[in-house]
Order: sequence, then structure tokens, then C-alpha cells
Amino acid sequence: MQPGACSVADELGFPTETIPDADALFMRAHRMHFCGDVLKPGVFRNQQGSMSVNWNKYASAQATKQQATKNPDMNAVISLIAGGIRKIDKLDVQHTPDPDNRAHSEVVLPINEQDLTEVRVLLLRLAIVVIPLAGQQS
Amino acid sequence: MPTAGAARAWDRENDFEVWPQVPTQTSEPPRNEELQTEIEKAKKILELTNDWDGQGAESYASDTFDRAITFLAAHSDFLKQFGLALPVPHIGAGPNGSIDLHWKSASWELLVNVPADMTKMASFYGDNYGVQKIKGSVDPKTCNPGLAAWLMN
Repeated sequence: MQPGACSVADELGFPTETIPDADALFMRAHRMHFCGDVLKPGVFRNQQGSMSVNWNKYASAQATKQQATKNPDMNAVISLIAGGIRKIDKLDVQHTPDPDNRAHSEVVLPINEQDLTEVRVLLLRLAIVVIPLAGQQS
Repeated sequence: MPTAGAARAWDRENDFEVWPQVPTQTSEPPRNEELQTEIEKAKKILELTNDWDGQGAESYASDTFDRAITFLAAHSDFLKQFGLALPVPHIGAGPNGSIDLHWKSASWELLVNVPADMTKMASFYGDNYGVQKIKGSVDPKTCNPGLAAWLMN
């Protein structure tokens, strides 16, 4: 490649990478998805076949919290390990960077409602609260 | 001597005998104080407006909430016939305008999701953190004896 030339990936945005199994994914969890300090399964929501998360290679838990478009303090941040997600049948993790967010990734979810109910229970068991709600201790 | 209130209760018991046991189709709230408290607490879900989480979450329709309560009433009434009380679930904001009914104990967990789409069945999944699993769909207007039995694990 000539000096100063850009790869196709650079021109279109950030390159897509493979997320290692050991890496963590962060997502916000709104106050409504807690009962006291206990996270509830409603936090896992299918948005057109997937759920948005941030890869910890490019975003911290704190940065994930601050990305909230409404009051960030209404949100906690949870962490899910990529390998744990992949061990759940019908789930996958993909890096899908946005021009504005290199960390953006997706947990690919099943479409079938029974499967979705099952994976929400299983994801809940993987989730660790890394930034608790304001006013609660970790 | 029986009081007037007791006599009325006895009359109601007689009425129950002529009702079909399953399916139970009632929207009458379950008469379980702890459960009633949870239902009242959960009504705050109905106050949420579209995009309440800043991530596009939908609001919740009272019809969806009522279907979830009907499900609880049906199972509570079914178990009451055997002198059993329905364990109290957490009634929560589910995805896409649905309502989650979530039970979690030391030995088992069950999630029932009542969708916003009135034409769709509720879906459920439960396990004992081991090999025993229960998964499927159910009409939230009726009592599912298999689910009721699971709740008595």
C-alpha cells in the first residue's frame, strides 16, 4: 500500500474484528430493570435480532454509561463475557463498529419467542453489575 | 356461631363447585396479600412512556398488564384448590412492551413473558439450574397445570 493510502476498512469506518472469548461486553441496565439491587431479565431486549453492547477493548464501563442519551445516572452497567454468551445455544457475538463507536458490538439473539425467553434467563446468570445504580454500592 | 361474613364465604365456595376448574378465565385479582402488593407495586410500569430508557423502549398497555395478572389469578386460584399459595413473582418491564413474571428461588427459576401482541401466547422457560427444564408457550387466560406444578417445586 502506498504511503498515505487508506484501506477499504479505513474509508468505510473501523475494521470489524473477532472478539476473543475472554473479553467482556458492557451494556447499560436501566433502573427499571432492577428490583432493589437485583437485575431482572427485562434488561435483555431483542432489537431487530440482536442486542447492542460495547466491547471492552474499545470502551470502558464508564464510557458505556455516559453514552446514555437520557440521564446516565438512571443506568447501571453490566458485563457479559463473550465466551459465556457463545456457550449459550443460538447466541453469537459480533463486532459491528459504528463510525462514532468503535466498541459497538451485537449479541445475536434468536427470533423465536420461547428461545428468547430461555436465553434471557441464561444471560441473566452471566451478567455482572460492574457499575451499580447511583445510590447503591457494588 | 357463624358470622354473616362467614356465611357469604360459604356461599361462594358452593359457587366455585359449579365453575370449570381449568381453564380459569377471570381477571379478578388474586386474593393473596403479598401478591396483591407486588401487583400494586408493578403498576408503575404503566406510567412509562415510549423511549423511557433512552434506547427506544416501548410503553406498556394496560391490556398487557391485565393479561399478566389474569395469568397469575388463574394459577393462584388453581393452587388454592389444593390449599397451596402461588409463590410471588417479580412483575417487571419486559422487552418490547411485554410483561415479565419472574420467579427465582434457591432451587429453581421460571420466567413467563406475556407479549404486548394480544394474539400471541405467553412464552415461558424454567429450570432447576441443572438438567430439569420446562419451556413452551401458554394461553395466559388459562391455568397450565404443568406450570402450576413447577411453581410448587
